[in-house]
Amino acid sequence: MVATLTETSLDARPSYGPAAPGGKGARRRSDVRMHVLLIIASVVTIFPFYAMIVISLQPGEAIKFPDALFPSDISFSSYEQAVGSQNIPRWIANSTIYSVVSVVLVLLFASMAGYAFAKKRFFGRELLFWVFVAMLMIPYHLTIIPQYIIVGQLGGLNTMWGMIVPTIANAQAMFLMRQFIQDVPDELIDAARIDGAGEFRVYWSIVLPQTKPILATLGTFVFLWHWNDFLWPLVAQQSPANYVLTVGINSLQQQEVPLATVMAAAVITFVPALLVFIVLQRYFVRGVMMSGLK
Amino acid sequence: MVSTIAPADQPALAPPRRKQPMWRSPGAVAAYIFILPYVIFFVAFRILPALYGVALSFGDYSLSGTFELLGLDNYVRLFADPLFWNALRVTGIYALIAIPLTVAISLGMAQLCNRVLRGMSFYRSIFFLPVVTSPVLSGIIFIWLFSTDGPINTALSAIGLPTGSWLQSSVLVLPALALVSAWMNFGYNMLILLAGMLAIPQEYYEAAQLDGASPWRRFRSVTLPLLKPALFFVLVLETVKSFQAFDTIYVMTSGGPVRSSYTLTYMIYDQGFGYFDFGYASATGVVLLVITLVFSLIQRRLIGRNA
Amino acid sequence: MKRTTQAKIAAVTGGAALLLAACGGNDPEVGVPDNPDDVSGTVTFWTYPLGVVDSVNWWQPYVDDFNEEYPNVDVEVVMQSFSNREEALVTAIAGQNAPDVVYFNPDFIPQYADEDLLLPLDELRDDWDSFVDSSLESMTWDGALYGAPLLMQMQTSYCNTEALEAAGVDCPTTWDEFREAAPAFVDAGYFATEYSGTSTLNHTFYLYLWQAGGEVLNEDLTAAAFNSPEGLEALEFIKEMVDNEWVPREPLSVSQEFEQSEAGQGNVGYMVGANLVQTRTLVDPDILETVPPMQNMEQVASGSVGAWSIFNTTDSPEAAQAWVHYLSDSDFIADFIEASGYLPPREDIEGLFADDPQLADGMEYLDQVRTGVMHPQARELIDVIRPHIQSVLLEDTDPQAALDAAEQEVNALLERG
Repeated sequence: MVATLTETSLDARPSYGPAAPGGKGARRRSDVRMHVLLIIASVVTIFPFYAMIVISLQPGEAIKFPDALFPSDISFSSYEQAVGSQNIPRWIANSTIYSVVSVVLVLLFASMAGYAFAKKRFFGRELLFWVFVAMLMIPYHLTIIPQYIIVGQLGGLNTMWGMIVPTIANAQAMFLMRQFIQDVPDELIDAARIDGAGEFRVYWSIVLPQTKPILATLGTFVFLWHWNDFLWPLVAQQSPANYVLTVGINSLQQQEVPLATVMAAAVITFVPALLVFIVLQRYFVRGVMMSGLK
Repeated sequence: MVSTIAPADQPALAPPRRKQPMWRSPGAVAAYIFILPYVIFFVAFRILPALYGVALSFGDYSLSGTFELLGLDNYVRLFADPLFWNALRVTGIYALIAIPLTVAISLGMAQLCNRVLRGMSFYRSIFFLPVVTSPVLSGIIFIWLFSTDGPINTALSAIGLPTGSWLQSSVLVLPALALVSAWMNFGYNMLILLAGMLAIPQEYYEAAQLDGASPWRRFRSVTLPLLKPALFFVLVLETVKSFQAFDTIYVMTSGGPVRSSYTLTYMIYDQGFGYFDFGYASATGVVLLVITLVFSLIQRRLIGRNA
Repeated sequence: MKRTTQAKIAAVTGGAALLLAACGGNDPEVGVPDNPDDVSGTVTFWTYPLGVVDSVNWWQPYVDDFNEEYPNVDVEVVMQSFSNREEALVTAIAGQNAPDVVYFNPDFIPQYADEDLLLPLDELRDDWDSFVDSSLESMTWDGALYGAPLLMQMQTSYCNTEALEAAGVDCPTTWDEFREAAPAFVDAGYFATEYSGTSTLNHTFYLYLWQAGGEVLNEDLTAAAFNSPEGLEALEFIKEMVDNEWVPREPLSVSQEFEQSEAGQGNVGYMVGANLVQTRTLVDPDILETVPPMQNMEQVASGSVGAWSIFNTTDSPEAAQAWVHYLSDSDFIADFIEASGYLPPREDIEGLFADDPQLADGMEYLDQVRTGVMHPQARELIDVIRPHIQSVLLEDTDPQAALDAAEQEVNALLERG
């Protein structure tokens, strides 16, 4: 089921919308009206980003609206300040490590477990699986305090590993991997076994390559989720050198840092998420659509 | 943004392919090895904290590791605490504003995007940008957008609407936060709804059009009823999100002004990490858990009746 | 088990006790050994962005200088952030990662000293008498000194001379003069002053309360005392500013970047208290006229003291003390004050601000500076009172009703402990 849906592309479908009655002229007029509406909606959607960028390009003085929205002279001094500061480059590195390492570990563990749940029979399979899925009901805010205590007792507060480790058992990722791997043909796996491939080899060389689309989709989600994560890094890291970008920017905002510099840091934070989105847009859209299907 | 990918509702397990002794087969041993890393982390950082959180709510925990059982003291204090009732009220009002607002905008945008038009995928990408933006950034930008002489007020007065000092007013602060949430989430919901709309067979529309139904009527009698599953999913998603809203509140208002955006989740953070009163914060968390469970039961009931 | 702040402190103490046990319970001895070569160990040193002294690099030459005398001490400078300051501290202590030397302001002292986490410093120096008395008092709890003062800070009262000229008034120094000048400032296109509804009450409501002759808590710190005629007068005075739009509305509920604030843009006629050095980075110093602290019944300026405290959980108490000794020497303080523009806590530093009369003037009023409430729950009290003040200013709550409500909450908090 999932495999066919992942092939769904929104634009490959014929028109379903209420088609405009009447001739070609009416159709064109209706199209123009739609474009106008869509452009207005786009402008409203994009305006906050525009504001963020133009403010970041002001020399750090009082920002007056509406003049600020149409800057006459552009200054990159805020970026120089942001990149030249002690912490922001470290925050970029921390965010990158937090996101990339988490993506790798989440995908690895979720696909291993998903493979076992999809293709293997073992005692306790159903029970375990439903326990995992049921945990999605528990509000994150109830578990974050115990999580903090547990990581603290393991000596992981204020460390990178302590921040990453609690995030890698991702039930949603495991669930989707299992769904997807169910559709990998058993014949492929059996054939590999007959060729003498060991268990890990089957998983690594046969199953994983079949799941590339879902790995890309999940990877995009997990990356963005970690890149934008706030509450857990906020409580898990207490020294500024260990902050991730989101926490760091919030701390800048609370201090005597010029708004333009805060916005420059915000742009710096946004760009990687934007790039990931642009490059992997296809997978991302697919992921959203899958999440909405029953 | 925890629930980026929610599970489908009733997944069917793969049917058993081979008849083998269940847990001694090499396959089963391999299976245990394959799930082991995941299970270890899941038990340690999901299941254990959940149980631990409930346990904490019945006691007092000090950071040095001593736990003192208090029985129901935390709950007695909680239900006598005006701060808690205020938080409950704020959470409810916020949900009542944010959910319909976000769902309505998402639905409208899905309808707008549900057509073949040159450049449509470009528009959709734009509508999706807020989804990939961190709530922290959104909060920081919107503080400025909402300022008294800021762009939003200017736009409002330009079209003849009354302006307000959004983040200064205990009446307007929740609508302002709901607006931010709608901006952040509509792109995601829109895609889900759009997928649902695309699954509606076009013949229905053609039939309705032949009957001379107006576009609005076609939307009401064809799109909406057939969109119910997707709409319900979006509704559930938004309910959970609005109960758990935290990042933007933390960044934009810190629960203010006058605690008028002090939600249950903010209270958990404040009591837990502001005062390190873990037991009390956990009791608040358990209440949030109960509310979430009750709501999902109600929603399940409703889906059951409608399906 | 006590709750809230005390639960926090208890938690911290527990951690401390564990740590002490782990070290074999050797009680750190006060005093610095005679031979610097004998002192060794690592000193983790938490500092914060103190005005322009906001980078680790600034500290490095002083660490090098210190190491010339104490070659075996390793000072690790950690630049912390003021946001999340308390959370970071408590977490670090609980995670047995406490700093050895930390920068504290007065209201931290009772909180941490009360639970026996700080090393008394009375014996650290023999020249404490050359420090400003009030700076030492603010670092004293239960008769023991817990902080070696680094700086004193006074929120300076000043006027914008351009605004004075445009409004045709003199710079006010009393509440009544301010009431007269305020409408004139507003008519001239300025805000009369600014009031922050989000910052610490030490510089806002408390300041007016003290000027009115009131107190936050009663003498033995067991109950609220601000619900008094003086408290009401102070709150009504602030409300008057808001109702008449003498103050900008934004800061009542949002903390603004300084360069975005009206004060930072030079649009405010009078400031009851401001960080002068910071103000002068944006507002032309030539149009600033500094005046004595505002007075109603009392003449009070708000301010703070910054000092170095040593956690008694430290592994190398001698090294930590040697470092704090170095940091409280007049040579270092003189350098620091010169760089940062704060006021010196030592009276024996000559020639400071010789060419800066605006800062020099401030030193005359150090006796009028009040730093906050000396109570282990001081910061929690502020969290409890602040929303009530805000509701008067933003929502027209009756001041007396707000004070009643705040008093009730404060007393409940104090009772709960």
